[in-house]
Amino acid sequence: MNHCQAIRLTVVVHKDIAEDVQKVFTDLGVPYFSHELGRYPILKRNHIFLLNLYSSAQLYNLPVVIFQVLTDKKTEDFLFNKIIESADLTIPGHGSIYTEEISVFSPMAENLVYRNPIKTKPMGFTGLTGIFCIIQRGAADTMSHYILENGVAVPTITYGVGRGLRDRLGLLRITIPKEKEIVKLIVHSSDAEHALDFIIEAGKLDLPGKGFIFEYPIKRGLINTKISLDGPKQAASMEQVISALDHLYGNIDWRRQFTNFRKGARKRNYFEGVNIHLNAKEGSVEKILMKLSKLGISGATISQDRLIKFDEENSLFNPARDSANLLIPKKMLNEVISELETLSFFAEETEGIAYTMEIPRAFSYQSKGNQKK
Amino acid sequence: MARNEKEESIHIGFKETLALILPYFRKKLWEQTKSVVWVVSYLILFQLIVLRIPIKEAGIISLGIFAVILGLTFFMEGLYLGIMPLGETIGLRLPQKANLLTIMVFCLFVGIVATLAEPAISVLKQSGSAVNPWDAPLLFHLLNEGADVLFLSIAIGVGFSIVFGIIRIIYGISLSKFLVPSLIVLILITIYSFNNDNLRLISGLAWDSGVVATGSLTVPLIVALGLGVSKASRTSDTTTGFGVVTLASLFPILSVFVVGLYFAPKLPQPMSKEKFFGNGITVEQSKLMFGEKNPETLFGISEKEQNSQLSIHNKLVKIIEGILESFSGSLQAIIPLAGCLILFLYIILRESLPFTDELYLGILFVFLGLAIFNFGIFFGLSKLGSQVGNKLPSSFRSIELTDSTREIRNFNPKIVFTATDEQGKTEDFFYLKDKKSFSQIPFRDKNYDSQSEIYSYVPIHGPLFGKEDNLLGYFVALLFAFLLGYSATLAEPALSALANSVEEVTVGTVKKMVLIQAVGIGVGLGTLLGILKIFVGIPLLYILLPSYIFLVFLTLLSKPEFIDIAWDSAGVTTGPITVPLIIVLGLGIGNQLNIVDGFGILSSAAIFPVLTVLIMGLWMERSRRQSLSNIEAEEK
Repeated sequence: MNHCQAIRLTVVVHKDIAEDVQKVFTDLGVPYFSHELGRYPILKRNHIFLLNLYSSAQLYNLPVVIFQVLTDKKTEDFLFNKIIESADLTIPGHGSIYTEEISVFSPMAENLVYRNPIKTKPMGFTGLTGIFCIIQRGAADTMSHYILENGVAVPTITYGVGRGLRDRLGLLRITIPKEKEIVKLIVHSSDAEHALDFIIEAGKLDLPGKGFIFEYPIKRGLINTKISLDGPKQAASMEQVISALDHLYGNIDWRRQFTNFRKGARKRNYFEGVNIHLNAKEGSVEKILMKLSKLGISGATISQDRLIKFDEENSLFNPARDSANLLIPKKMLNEVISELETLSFFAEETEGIAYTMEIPRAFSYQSKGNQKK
Repeated sequence: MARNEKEESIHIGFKETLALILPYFRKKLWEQTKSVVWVVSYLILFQLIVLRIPIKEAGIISLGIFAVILGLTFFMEGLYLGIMPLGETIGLRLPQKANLLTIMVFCLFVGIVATLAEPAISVLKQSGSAVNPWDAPLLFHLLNEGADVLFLSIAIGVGFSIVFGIIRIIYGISLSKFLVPSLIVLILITIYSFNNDNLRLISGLAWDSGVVATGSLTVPLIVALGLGVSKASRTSDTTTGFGVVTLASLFPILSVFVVGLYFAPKLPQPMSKEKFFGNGITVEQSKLMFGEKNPETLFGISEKEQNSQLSIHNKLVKIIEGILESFSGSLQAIIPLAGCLILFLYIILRESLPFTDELYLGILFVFLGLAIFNFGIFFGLSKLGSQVGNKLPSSFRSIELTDSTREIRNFNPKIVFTATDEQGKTEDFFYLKDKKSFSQIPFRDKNYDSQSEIYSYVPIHGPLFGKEDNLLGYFVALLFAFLLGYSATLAEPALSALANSVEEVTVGTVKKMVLIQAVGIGVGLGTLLGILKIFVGIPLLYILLPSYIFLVFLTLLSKPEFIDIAWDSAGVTTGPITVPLIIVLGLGIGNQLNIVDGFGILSSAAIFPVLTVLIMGLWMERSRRQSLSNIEAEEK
């Protein structure tokens, strides 16, 4: 199987400026990119007199478009800067951009990667960590309210469909809701442990069936800081005040005393593994996952995106794609890839692509038996 | 998550099965209960507290309402499990595997089959018996003898609109390019019809049939089909896959007008009853209107005796007949539609769904749900609605409660008094002791049977606020109309399915409840205006023309995303719950005020949701812009 190292560049932009980003891709001749719809919640203070009595702030959801494009190390900075420039990502509220190092498995892995010899200076910050969290549909609003109010980060939410236990139940599976929400956020690496803990508490992820979370390393990024629709009423915005206090204390533990979460400085059993991101023609990922379950890999979240590619010859090309994220133990990676190959996941019919990435820390509820492993 | 658990299918015992099914069922049942509870409790409270009239047949009605909830539960679950995934899969594969001609034939076929199976369309036929042939010959013909032609024309209209809608999505043409021209054509035809007596009377029907054509089964299917096609289409960045329903509620209007234009010269103009029967029409025209039947016998003495006191046995027989009828009706709706879709999927597209068992279970659920739901609508909600609707005019004038006729045994005519009014006219009355109070009842000779000494009288309920025709009474009726439209919309299954799809497609940026509320307020406003139309006697054109001009203006201001959703919600609003309730309300008030056609309320109820959703869209747009702009820059 062909595979290569690449940089995956993810751009999350407000839907109204998504066209600008897409235009950059077209102009530069990026061969492949995918886009997916999502939303990011933002706080909105109530200005209506009586409504203030029972809730001080409500969430407002803004539509975003999430682009993903593959590039190599040399082109990374160039593309990164081009996108920031075109979408004005330095202005709060426009969106975020970040890159990760991944491996790509595909018969045409090399073709997927965008290359350009122009060199530019690097932009953006290093030392960031991404958090990827899967929860039950409907739980994301409460969670993002906590996240925003406490100034952890600005989350991005997308929809997905979960697979796992329910598929082994036969027809009874319809009694278990499969709809999931995927919450992604980017934090400073020094905050990562706290943020992970915070989200586990906020989403009660330490209870069975509530969800799943992992963190992944980010190479470079620029993150959206706009958490409220309204302008600052004071000389310094609340966000600035919070960060100043963080500096004074030297940590962000002080924020915890204002939240009502169950305090338990328990030791969490994190585990590690490899994240495989499968992307193939709509409808085929589900079939592949069913067959993969023979290897003992169950539990994946499927979401839908569109893959855009620029070759006009194949007019029957279908942009509708399925994406699945699954986490496997590191030692199984080769086995899974070769199994995917025998299942003809990479064949022309399904046009499968697999991206892999090492996950240093993941967490989910585990029964007592599993914890011993 | 991904641990090395051995993959086996789990064996589940009976107890565990119950433990899984019961909470699931309870949750789904509760969801539907929440959606129906508003309209039901509103109707009951209004009748009991505002009008102060006891509810007749409360037992059967509550059974019917339970059936509505149960039926909705099955129906909605079946839609999500079976019909919508089926539609979406076909939509996804259609542009890849079939050529344009196949797509067009398929869409036309599906539209016709789905519309003919639509239960809501039979509501039109029911209202046909309320029309007098001499008042509106063309309307009478289309609703009675020509009903099949009417239904077929509506179905063909829906079929063509699906064809255009799907082609629009495949080629990424914006909805307004279809919307504005067809609206202009429709408005022009309506203006033309306005000057022709016969055609003017069917314009209400035409606009309403467009609304009725898209019902609880058709809409989710069309929406799913559109979403599937838009996912697979390369050019659909600007369109969301909605908007097909809109066309499906505009094209039938056109086709009904075309049928009307065809038949108009062949039928007589409206005339008086005497002239009508005294050789006002030719034999040919009579044949067209009545078929082989003799009009004189049909309309000579049509006073049907209504037996309000049914025995328990009769009641049970009636209920069982109702159940059988709704099951066979449901079967007639599901089998052609599902069969046609499944055959198309397997034979022409050669595709399969990943979970076939879920699909079949879904179709079974839809069948069961539709049957129980129809039964419940007929025995519960419609009955309750018609009770309230018929008595609503009592808020502004006195009406006779014909369904609560009472008998006085051993009546002695000697107790009758005579009263006089200012002009010296006299009228007989007597005192009736009712529990502890005494009230005067007018005495009429024909109601007294001297042999059995029984006097039967019809209680009169009368204006709520003092005088006849007082403004406050009219105001109460209008308020009632608004709240009825609003609360009935919340329970509408097709809207719920559409709102779900909207939330799914917009990834939660347009929340389901927000959309439903906006549509509900719109339907409420539309119903209010429809009732006002009856009160004041405004021609339909005067409502449609300004509203649509305003809508076109708003449409040009909005983003394509919201245009599609807003116009779709108009077609969706009026389904099995709203249509009977609103029609009954219109007919009830129309009867009291002696107005020929109660049509047109539905079409006005369908305009305003577009308005409210477009305004909601513009308002959301504002926040979207606000989130983009840099606040500091704004303050400078």
